[in-house]
Amino acid sequence: MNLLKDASNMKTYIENDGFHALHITLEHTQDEIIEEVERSGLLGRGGAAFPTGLKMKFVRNEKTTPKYIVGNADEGEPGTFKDRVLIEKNPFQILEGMIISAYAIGASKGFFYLRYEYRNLVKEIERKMEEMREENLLGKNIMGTDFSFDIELVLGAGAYVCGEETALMESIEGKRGFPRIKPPYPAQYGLWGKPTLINNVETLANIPLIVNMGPKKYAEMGKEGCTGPKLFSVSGYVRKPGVYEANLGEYTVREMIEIAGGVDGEFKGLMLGGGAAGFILNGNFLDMPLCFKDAKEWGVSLGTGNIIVFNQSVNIWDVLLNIAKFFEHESCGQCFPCRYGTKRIRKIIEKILEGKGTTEDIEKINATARAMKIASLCPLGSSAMLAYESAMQNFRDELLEVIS
Amino acid sequence: MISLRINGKVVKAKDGESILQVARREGIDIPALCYMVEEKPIGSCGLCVVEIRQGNRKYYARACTTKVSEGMEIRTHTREVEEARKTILEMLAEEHSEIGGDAMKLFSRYHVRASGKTMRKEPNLVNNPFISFNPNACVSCFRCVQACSLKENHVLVRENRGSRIRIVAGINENLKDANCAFCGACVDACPTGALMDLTHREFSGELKRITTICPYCGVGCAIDYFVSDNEIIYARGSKKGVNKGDDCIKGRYGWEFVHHPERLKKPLIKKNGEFHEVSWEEALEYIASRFKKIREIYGVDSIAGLSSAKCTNEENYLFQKFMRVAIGTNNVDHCARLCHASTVVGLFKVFGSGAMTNSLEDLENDAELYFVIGSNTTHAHPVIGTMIKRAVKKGAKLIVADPRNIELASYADIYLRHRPGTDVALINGMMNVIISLGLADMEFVKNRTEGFEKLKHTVKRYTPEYVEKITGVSRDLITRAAVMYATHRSAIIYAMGITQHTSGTGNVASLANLALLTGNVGKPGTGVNPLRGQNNVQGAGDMGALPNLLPGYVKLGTRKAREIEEIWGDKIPENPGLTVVEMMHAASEGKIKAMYIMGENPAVSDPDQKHVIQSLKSLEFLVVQDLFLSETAQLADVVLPAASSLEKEGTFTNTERRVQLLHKVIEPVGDAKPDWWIITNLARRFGKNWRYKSPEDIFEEIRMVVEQYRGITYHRISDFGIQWPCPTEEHPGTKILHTVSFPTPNGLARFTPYEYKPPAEEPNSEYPFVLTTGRTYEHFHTGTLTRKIEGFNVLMPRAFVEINSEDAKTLGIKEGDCVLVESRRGAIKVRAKIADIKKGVVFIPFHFAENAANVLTIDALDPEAKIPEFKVAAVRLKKC
Amino acid sequence: MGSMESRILEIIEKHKSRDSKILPILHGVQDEFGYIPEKAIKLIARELRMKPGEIYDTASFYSFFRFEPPGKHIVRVCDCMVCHIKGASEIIHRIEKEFNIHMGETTKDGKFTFETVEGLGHCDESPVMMIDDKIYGNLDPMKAMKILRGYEQ
Repeated sequence: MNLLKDASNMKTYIENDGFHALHITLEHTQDEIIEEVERSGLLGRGGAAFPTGLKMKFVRNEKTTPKYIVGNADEGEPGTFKDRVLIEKNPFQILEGMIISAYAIGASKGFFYLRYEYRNLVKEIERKMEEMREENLLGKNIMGTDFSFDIELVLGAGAYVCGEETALMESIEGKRGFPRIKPPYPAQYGLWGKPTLINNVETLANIPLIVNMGPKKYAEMGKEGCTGPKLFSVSGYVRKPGVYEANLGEYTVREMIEIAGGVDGEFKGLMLGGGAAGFILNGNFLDMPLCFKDAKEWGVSLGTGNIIVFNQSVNIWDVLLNIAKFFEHESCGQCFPCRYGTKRIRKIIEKILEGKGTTEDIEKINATARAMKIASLCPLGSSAMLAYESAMQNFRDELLEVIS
Repeated sequence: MISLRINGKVVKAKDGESILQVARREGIDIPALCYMVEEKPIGSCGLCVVEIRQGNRKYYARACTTKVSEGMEIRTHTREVEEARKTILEMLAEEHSEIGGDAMKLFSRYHVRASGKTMRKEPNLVNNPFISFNPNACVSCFRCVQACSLKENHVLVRENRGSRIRIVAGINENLKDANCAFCGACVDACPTGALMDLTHREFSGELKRITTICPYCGVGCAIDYFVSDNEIIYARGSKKGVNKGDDCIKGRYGWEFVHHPERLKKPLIKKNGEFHEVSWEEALEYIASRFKKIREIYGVDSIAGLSSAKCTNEENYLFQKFMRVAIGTNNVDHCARLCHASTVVGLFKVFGSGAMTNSLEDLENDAELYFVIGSNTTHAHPVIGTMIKRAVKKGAKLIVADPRNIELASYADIYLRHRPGTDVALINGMMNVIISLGLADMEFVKNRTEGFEKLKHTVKRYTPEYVEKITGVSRDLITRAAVMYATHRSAIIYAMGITQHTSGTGNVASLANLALLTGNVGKPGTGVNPLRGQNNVQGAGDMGALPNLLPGYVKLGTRKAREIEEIWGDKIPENPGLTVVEMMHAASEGKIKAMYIMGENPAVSDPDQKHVIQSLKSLEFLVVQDLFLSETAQLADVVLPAASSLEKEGTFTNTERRVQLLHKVIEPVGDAKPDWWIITNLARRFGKNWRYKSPEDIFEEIRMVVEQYRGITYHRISDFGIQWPCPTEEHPGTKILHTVSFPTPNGLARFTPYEYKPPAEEPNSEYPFVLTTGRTYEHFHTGTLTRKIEGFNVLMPRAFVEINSEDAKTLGIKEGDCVLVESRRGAIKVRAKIADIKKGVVFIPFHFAENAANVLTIDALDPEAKIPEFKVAAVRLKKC
Repeated sequence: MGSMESRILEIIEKHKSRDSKILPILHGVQDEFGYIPEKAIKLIARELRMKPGEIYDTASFYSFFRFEPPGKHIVRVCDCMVCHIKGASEIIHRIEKEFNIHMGETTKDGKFTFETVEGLGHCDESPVMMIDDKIYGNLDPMKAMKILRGYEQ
């Protein structure tokens, strides 16, 4: 295991090569580190799969100071719990990755943004950071070098949209989590208007691996276009739900479900990518390799690496209503298309589940979806309909059966 | 320049422009609902979404938030975007039943009709006299929230999120409790008719817009009045004025007094204790004969006149001319005596000129630091208050010195809470620090000033330790304030907290010394800037409504005075007259027998009210000219109905010396006449052949007499005023005084150090509290105008006394309790308001005749400026 | 009241120097009082030189900040998609019936405040609920009720 190793106390972590990467880093230039990350082919693990090295380079190239780094542990997609497990099992690797990234981009301050639902982890994380300060791994003159950096833990307060990078930054700044209008992007105008690197915590945990083993060896895990280890949250109707680590491209969806104990009951379908902004798929997708690149070719996305398995007891309209309610509740309300659209869709699906759905209602959903897609201000609005649209493709007959 | 295509047409645009800006310029009508401020698009409605192709990428984006870039191909009305727009509007209509306002046009354009359910529950934010809110019309576009935050008020905010999001005031309170400023910016911003002015009158027929100067404070905002059939329907801050579209509660909602039923409409003569309506002819004849008789029996100096900072320059000019040449006395003064007499004397002593040194514009743009002392700016001069708040948000520094925790104190980097009346010590202390730390601008001191050694000698003993004892401000804060002031481009802003003291002249001069010492004079964003209380207090002084100075601040008996005599063709008496408070004393002593009072209300405004009323009662003859039967007018023998400033032409000079032209908004009500007409017709009855047919005729004479105004003409200021001095018609006016030299004989400013002297009346065991007086946001001065406005009375119905919470506890006083406040001169009963005010200090506003703060105040005067000490009196408090 | 004010001021003082100050202060206040009293919003605004409305604008956005005192125990039943398909609705119905209450309300005796939430992040134990800070997983209606009865003592 590269990510999910059980190293929650510092002694174990250090015995497992912990902080070795940091040590190496401090003997290299900032650009050398960024180049290694670039060459590793690491793609962001938070859902968007953007090249991490490139993002680091953007921030590194900005002249404005101070610069900030944010570790995003606001995982809010239903069915996604890999960051929680990672934090519980291997917190130092995330923090080490954060320090290395901070060094590479020239940040002096970092924020660890933790979702409210994980508040019982706060004390533990803060204690870990305190231990690191005592060991001079965090704070002033880290490991006796000129490099000083510290991390502040910020606890969210219940808002899915804060997982969106600019909304998250607004939240750290003490404001409501309204996503910002982009551009400018965080690399130029992030926290308090300063250049900011924001990465998912799983992404950060990959950084020490790259520095330790070198980009070439790292890239050998996985395959061209999707390298390195990845965490998969597997839940729903499987016999052993949990977080599983695998190299990207190593397994297909079917194999991952097997690893999680196999289907509990008779397989019907699955949700991939996220439990809200994800894809509702049928058995045709079981042979898709779990790799960002393959997923793209299959017309879907791995998202946060989330698989929710449905057995025959699951009603797809019911799932869609749950998702619609979720988006209505979690829409930030900043823009009309999403604010009103999510509510409208929930109401129509409720009507359909009462058995009163008509083809006009379906057309109304489609028109709403189109408006949300082109006129929403942030990805929440434009991704809210992914589940519906994919369900319509993959379970069309079942869904239309109840429409008159 | 950027080149792009919109709907196939090649268009040029500037870098940084948004698609919406460019499209609208090209006449392409992209719909938008939330779009308001070009530079700060909100982006909520999504209606302005357009299709963009760039290279081989095609995407959709908001036109308002997307900047143009080279080679963009934009399509604004494709089937897809038009469908999305219609869908968005349909969704709005499904949720909101009563959308109105400009949004209606969009709905009819897309053939969408409202169908949402109607809520009938009143939202919290209503329940106020000025602004209504209809939740069925509100689509939470956030324009009002943006408008409120651009005013730095942050009262309207968003509650909750998603489809439950809504607009609330403060912590979901009503507007008043949420400290709304009632500037109405939100109403102007609302596109759906959810927020509306409650004062908006019904009207039929055509609506005319007439812009004139606000009748209230010295900021001199331009206000757009919308008029139908000689009636004002509503008002808005004008974009054309110094206020650039901003306004405050008084400017926006404070015009209703002009239509008030109690307006005086006929001249009144009192017979057997009762007023009777008479003709103008009879009233003027009667006045002339009585004045002449009294003059015959008691001599010219038995008559005194009070001119008015609420009247135009032309009227003040005529009034003092009337007193001087028709009556023959220099007994003429006006309420500036009560507010800024010490400014005129103090700044004259140091700089050679007694006016605000800088302009609102350069203070806004160039100051790095504001030192606000003795000015509750956000209440008394709200538009300047907003300007300071905005500047601070943008990074300017702020030092506030005030015994009360005024709103600006919460924006301050350093807040100095000194004891009332200890300003000289505080400022000397700052100068002590500046000199001892070597922070003085010695280059400036050497080249532009004289008397530095004298100053140095005086401030030497005002060490921070010593000053801490006097002022109650810690030595550390004094030092930090001094250093901060000295190391920035700093502007001093002050008002009555500085001037209304027996040490008023010393306070003003000390501030001027401080500015000189650090070279903060004669440059943009610096200076010593008194904020004038009345709309024309600067002008009334400029026009010589003063007992010792003629128009243009010409001293009596000088060569220049004789030049004025020549223009007037009349002799001017040479012995200086009496000031306001001295007149009252002379009246009670029987030396003044008759008074002519134009638009002033000394029975409420002057210190030691009991004594003032006695004095006025002891007069043989009193003429009062006013809009209403004020407390003073009730004591008069003749009352003349005057036209308000919205009913006439003329000029006002605002706090920054800007001479601004009034435009007549409506015709005078009833038989009311402009003051200039009344004075002219009275003068004719004294054998003066005055032939002024209009205010402009008078202004043309003013230009001959007053050097500072010489280059200003009505034509030149028809759109926007000019700041004096303006010596020639080619001169652009003077934004900043003293840039090159000072108007002193040798061109140098004169350091004029003062020693700290305690106030006339200090607290003791019998009267343990210090009373300080001032204004509230809702009311103005003696309330003659503002207390005629129902909404203001709802928001601020009665007087109160602000007490420190610890003091209140000791006295067993709770919020809202009735409190008896007694001084050596009288007692009043008011409600207690527990407030953040310095311990041992209490505050009472002076607007309320029925609980007049001036019953308590002392008429002790500054020996030089003769200004009374409204800001310090010893009182005791008792629960009643 | 005096002690509430001084306690709030202590919390503000503790977090004021943090860059992120507002959220930590709001959490501090809610941890102390169970909710965010109006008084606290006013004091936070005063101390941070903001307007109370600005603080409320932020606080009211987040679903876990509350402005009314909650019951002794806060029960959050997860109704995310995973819990939902694995029977969260039955648990919710059972609770609503047994306690004669709707989700989002507090029981009359003040013992419980019930809420549904959208993802506690324990999908490996679905369906789950959180009572105060403790997670209970692999629930069914009966198991959930048993746990709740335990808290009633």
